[in-house]
Amino acid sequence: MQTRIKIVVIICSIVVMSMFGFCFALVPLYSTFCKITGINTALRVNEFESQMDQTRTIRLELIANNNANLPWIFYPLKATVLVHPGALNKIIFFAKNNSKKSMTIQAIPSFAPLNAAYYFHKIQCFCFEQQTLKPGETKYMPVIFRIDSRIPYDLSTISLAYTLFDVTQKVARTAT
Amino acid sequence: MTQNHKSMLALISRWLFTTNHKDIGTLYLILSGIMFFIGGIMAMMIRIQLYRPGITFIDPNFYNQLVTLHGLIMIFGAIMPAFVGLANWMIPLMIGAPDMALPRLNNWSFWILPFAFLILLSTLFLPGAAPNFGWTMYTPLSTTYGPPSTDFLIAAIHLLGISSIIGAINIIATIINLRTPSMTYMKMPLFVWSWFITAFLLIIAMPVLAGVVTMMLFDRHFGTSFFNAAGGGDPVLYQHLFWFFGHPEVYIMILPGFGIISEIIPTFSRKKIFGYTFMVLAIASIAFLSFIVWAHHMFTTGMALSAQIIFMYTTMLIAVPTGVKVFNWVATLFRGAITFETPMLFAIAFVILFSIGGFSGLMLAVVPADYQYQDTYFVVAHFHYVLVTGALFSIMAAIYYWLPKWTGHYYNETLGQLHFWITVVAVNVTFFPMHFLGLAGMPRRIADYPLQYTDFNQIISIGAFVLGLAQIIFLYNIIRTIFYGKKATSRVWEGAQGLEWSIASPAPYHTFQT
Amino acid sequence: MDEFGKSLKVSYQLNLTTGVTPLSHAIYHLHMIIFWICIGIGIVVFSFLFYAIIYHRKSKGAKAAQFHTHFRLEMAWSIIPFIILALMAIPATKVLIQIRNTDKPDLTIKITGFQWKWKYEYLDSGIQFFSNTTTPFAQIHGSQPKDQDYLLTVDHPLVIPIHKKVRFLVTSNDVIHSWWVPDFGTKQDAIPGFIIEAWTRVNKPGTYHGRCAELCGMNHAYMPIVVEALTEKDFAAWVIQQKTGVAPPATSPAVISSEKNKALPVENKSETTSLASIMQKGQQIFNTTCAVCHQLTGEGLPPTFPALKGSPIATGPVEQHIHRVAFGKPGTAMQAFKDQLTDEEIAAVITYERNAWGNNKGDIVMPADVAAIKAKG
Repeated sequence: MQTRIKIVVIICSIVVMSMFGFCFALVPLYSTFCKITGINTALRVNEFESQMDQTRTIRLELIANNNANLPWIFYPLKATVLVHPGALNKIIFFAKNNSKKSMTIQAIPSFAPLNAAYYFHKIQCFCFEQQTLKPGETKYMPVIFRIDSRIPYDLSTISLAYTLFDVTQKVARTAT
Repeated sequence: MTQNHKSMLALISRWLFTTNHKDIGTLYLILSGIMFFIGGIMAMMIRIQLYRPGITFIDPNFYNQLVTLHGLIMIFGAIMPAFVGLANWMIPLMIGAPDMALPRLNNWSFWILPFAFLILLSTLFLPGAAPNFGWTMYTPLSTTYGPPSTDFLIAAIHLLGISSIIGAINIIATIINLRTPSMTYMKMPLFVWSWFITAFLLIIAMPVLAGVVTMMLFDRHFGTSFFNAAGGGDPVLYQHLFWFFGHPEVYIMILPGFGIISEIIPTFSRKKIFGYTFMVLAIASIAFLSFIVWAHHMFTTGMALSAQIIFMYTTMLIAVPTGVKVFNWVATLFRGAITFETPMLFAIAFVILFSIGGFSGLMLAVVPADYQYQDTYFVVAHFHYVLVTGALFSIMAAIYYWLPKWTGHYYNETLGQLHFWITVVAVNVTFFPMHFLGLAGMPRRIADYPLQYTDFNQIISIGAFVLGLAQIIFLYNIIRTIFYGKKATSRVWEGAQGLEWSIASPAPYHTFQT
Repeated sequence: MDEFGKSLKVSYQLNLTTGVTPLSHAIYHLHMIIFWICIGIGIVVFSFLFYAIIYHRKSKGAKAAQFHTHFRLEMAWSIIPFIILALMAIPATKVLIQIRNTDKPDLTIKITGFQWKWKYEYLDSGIQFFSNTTTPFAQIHGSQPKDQDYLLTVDHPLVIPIHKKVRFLVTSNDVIHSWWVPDFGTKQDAIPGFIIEAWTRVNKPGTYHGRCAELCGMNHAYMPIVVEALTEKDFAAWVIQQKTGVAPPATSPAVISSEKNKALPVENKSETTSLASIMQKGQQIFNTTCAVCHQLTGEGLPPTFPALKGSPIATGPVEQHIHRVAFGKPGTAMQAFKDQLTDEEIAAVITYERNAWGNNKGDIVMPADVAAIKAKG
């Protein structure tokens, strides 16, 4: 093979390899992007403005979803809460494992509108770790949070949904 | 061993081990033809089911499998191998090279394909079901809810990807290194230019597809959560990654077609291509833009408003270089001395009908309107105008155009014109009413529909059958040309320009040997 | 399109609907603007093209000109389309911002896509129900003639008030679906694990139809959407009716299933005790609710949809069978039907499953058995 052809082949192969790698690199890039824009994030925003603003009230709608017909009872104790930006708040979700076996779930938060997540500062959340309940067991699961007082004025209603995903098998697999 | 056996073996090993670009080009074209008819039969079955409302022919599960395989077979089996076959045959002839730069790799990149398609088609006979989630393979329908045969699909896609990548590297190496000394880049025929740029799209986009199906495989079997919200993944991420490959893929399927049309129109207008430099720049800018428009396939997924706006603008921008190409083709025709042989008829039909596909593409780019069009038959109409009357017409034009060079015989012009006219009428009867169905609210990929859509669906089904049957004329004409037909001159067409017309017809087994 | 008869008359509908909401009107106008732009460009370009292919034929003695580049002309036809597009982008962006502005809703409804039905939950009033297709299996399979409203009807349509900003939170239970009502100009993909907003403000009472727009598996074609837009007064009455359960019409859903059970009229004793009549009722429910997956023949579509004919569940202990139907099988398409069907209906369908297709267990399942197992959990 001529040297010049070899060079082309080597360069092209490098491009192919790096694009294959780039595809995988997009996963963390995307989650960074999501973190910034607040899609599907269970992580805390570090920098925070906690000056309480009592002149404003934000309506927070709480929504509970069960994925894939999860046999749990899951709902927020209060469906709607009114909160002041900057104030510390606590909301509680009720969960009951209605199945006949012990199950582990992971709760995934989702915000509407999307950018609300950016101003939603969770101090404690049941979504930070997986929750295991025995058959028939119940649990009150709290979320302690603050809403950043820099939240834009056009965000007057925020919907926060938690979706429970069954990860029992996944956990069992990693344990073995 | 008898004499017969020996010659049989010799024949098999000639085609199995060939490194000759013309042989490999022929093999690619034969494979593409077979896949075209298999994919076509699937389309016919889909159209029988949709002829009347209700489950009248196949059950919805099998319908979804057909929809999936029809898409995959036509894209990866019919259109892409046809273009690669044309590249193999014509690029060395057009640039005066004795062969491709990497002949042995060339052999591999072809012989991977039949196995890939055997794996893909074998899924139809596996227990459970063949892949039934559309060629876009959206998660979680393809991961958590996918049938076991999805793993076969993933394996097939890996093989197809490897084949395409090797083929693309080969084309790049050939064009860079093996041009005849006097042929500078800006003197290359536009078909070569279009393939040069397409090859770069392939080596950039195909690895992403390989990556994304690998992630799918991991999600399915190794407990990762790339696309599963339960583990912090996101099903929408799949769509982003898929379309990051998928949109360049769309242009991979049309840019070589642009190149072919840019060869044919000057020949039969007996006039040089208008605005060569702009044509090259337009292909390059379309290729570049193809990497920054992918999210327009996902406008209704609930992505951020700012992302919708940016992708709307970049998508609309594509109309500019595409428009330049159409304007330049028309300018090439203008004040030419035009004759209408079959390749020219297909080329003119391409310009008109591809433009219609382009217009509906422009409409789809407008995000608010896309909210109504997304996932309807309007989209189905759009991409069939672009891929059937675009890509497929350019391939048919190319085959009629170069067949005399390959076989040394002219095809039968009457049959060619008959094939053209039936095809061009049927293709519009088939795909134009789909615009109406989409606007009236019929979603794509449904096996059954309310009564109000019946009439148009019947028209479409009839059109599809005529379209399918007309291709038998095409097949017959090609086979006939191989054995009979008027002897072709080396120039073949009166207005033909370029190195490939300077060699004898049929092209000798070895050309431009140094 | 407020009546099916009417919608059939427009079966040759060629263009997009103007719809009944500000968004659908705005979208329609954008659609027409861009359409006419395309037609305009098309006429200009194709005129030149046809002029050339008619007058510049070799057979007419045309001689080819020699020009092959013209920089200014080419720049012009690069820049002019760009300007047209830039002008087009302005109204498009405006409408888009309007579409995404879900602020200050009057009412919020959560829409959940299931394989293959929709669930609607009114967050403000707590009303929730499933919405299933009611097209009979026999019509789909052609053993019965198709009604005019084939694939256009559901058991419980979504009910919304007119002149109110209704916000939808769209999500999914399993795979990606897409909730689309063309007359509203509202289409939103339903993605498992995420809630995504959309909104509408209907300005005309009526019944509006839509469909799932994203391929979601086998019965993608069989999850229609029906929305009833009522005047504010009618809507308020509907809400009260739903919440109190007072005289709910047979087709109306109830807030809580136990209330629904109570509200059901007591059935004729002699009828409920005869196996044949229970079987008949069970078959009806099976054919509309279960047969899409398990098939009329009970043979299913393994491995995704297992057979019931001779299956360990349908021929094994009756408690397990009831439990499976009532609570579903998590992680599969088998859903929990305890809130979707009444105890009577579950009992009938299980009786049918245990006696049809040669299963011949001879069991008659009583609604009380179902209630007991539901209570046990």
